[in-house]
Amino acid sequence: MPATPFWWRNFTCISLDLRGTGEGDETEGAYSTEVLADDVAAFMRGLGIPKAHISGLSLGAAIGMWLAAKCPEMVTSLSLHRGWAKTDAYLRTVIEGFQVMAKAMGAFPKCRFLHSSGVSDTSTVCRQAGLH
Amino acid sequence: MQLSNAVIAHDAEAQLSRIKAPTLVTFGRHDVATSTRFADLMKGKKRNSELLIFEGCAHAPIYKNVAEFNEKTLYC
Repeated sequence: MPATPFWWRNFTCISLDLRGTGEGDETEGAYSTEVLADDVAAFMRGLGIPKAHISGLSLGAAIGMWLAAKCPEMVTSLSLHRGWAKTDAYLRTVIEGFQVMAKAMGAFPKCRFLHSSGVSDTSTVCRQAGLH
Repeated sequence: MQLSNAVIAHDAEAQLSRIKAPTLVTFGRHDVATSTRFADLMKGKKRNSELLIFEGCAHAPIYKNVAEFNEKTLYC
């Protein structure tokens, strides 16, 4: 996120590659925003981060909702940027349009399609510097 | 493809009432995909939630107007 360097002035920030994106491993089976939230919680536990400010953009916001609901003790504050609570018919149509184009390209290029339009799905965990 | 399917299947509506953390919700005024049609539900009726809408921006004010985004979303 372009905001992350600014946040670094006061926080320790970690942006995650979700499974199947960036350097995140792809796994078999269906993904869900709830499972991805479980990934974030496991990531935090693995790094010994008991609680953090959670900031999510788009899909990251959808994941942040699940994380804050399932693990309230881990979320100091929640920032949801361009999120949505439940996919409606319009959003479904937009995403299905992406899928049709991706299939026509031969492969879904790991969100590169989304990135190329200036959109990124990111979950960022921020821990206030010096605090645990 | 799996992530896009996760987007299509996303339904956290019943989870919103379980969120206890102070929450900031932002949208871009000209966002089409995740437009302000979701704003009321996302903000909910919680006293500790706040809604911000960035004028002149679509889905990515965080990229389009970094300075304004930082100024309005950070509480440091």
